[in-house]
Amino acid sequence: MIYIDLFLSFMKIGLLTYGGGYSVIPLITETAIRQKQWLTTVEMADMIPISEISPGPFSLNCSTYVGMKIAGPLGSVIASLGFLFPSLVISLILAKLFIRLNRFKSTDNVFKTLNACILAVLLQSAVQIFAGSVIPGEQIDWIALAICALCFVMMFKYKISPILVMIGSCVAGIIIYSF
Amino acid sequence: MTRETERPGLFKLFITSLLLSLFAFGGGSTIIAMAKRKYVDDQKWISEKEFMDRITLAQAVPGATTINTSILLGHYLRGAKGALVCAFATAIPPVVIISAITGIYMVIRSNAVVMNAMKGMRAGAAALVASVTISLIQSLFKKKDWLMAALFVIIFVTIQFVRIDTYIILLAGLLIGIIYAVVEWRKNDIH
Repeated sequence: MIYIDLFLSFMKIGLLTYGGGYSVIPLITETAIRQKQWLTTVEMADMIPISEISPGPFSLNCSTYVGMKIAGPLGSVIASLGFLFPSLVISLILAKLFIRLNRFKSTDNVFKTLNACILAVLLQSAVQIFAGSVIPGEQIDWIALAICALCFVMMFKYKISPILVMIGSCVAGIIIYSF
Repeated sequence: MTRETERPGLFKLFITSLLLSLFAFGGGSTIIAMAKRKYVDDQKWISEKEFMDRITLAQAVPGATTINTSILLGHYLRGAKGALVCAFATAIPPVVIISAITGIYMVIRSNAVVMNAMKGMRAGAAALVASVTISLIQSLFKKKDWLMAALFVIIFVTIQFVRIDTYIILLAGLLIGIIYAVVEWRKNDIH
């Protein structure tokens, strides 16, 4: 049944989303594209601006998007609940066990290692998303490449807020592709 | 030292978290700053030290840091029930908003203007993910922690040739991390 499948899939995703919301991208790629074929690469690319612009945590927004996309409003709630479940359980356990985690310096080494692994799969996703957007068919979409390059410079070099850049790319898309 | 006033009831906690979540555009740091102003400065429900401890702990929990912070604050103020109330109150606004936006997007995405807008935004999203990833890689190499840098490179190169389940990679990372932490801990213990 799709709802149980959604809940369990997003529970797994919620359990391994660490260090900033973007680590959810490679996990959703793994589950929703490779394993279950719930989404196409393009539909996943659309998830990113929608989740970024809206209020709320990026990773939760992505979960809600996938749930809604494949199983409607109930699906969005189930996917979100699945994503939240590990947070709730682990938070409660840790809150009861030890509140002053900064005393446990050795946990830094665990997260450092995990983050290096997350970064490797995130880079893989970044390459795929870039390729999907700039080479949508057989040929390179030069307009997309130009928008992408410009957005990259604005965020990476000039540190402009991603929300503003997303809105800018939306306006640029409408203007340039329509004429 | 701030003196804590009387702790809020579950209903008050629910409304406070809901409003915070609803008006916190711009992601994690905004909502944390707003929460601090509300919980620590205005209401004095929790001391700054206790608040910061919970933010640190929230990073150690998987999932969204803002939700985790909210769960831990709820737990501090009203136990397990408070945690549950805060989790839902923080999650409800984004879930409703994203469901609505996704629903609308699914209906209008074949519209020519929307298709063009999405093409632009996909390019923007590619830039966003690239920008975040490259910043993270930069800071990894700046730390000169060559063990971690090597781990990153080895995994990335390996997955170019072999298809490995992402979950397996991360679970392996967790396991290696635990072993590494234990080794370092014992090394420091001996000296």
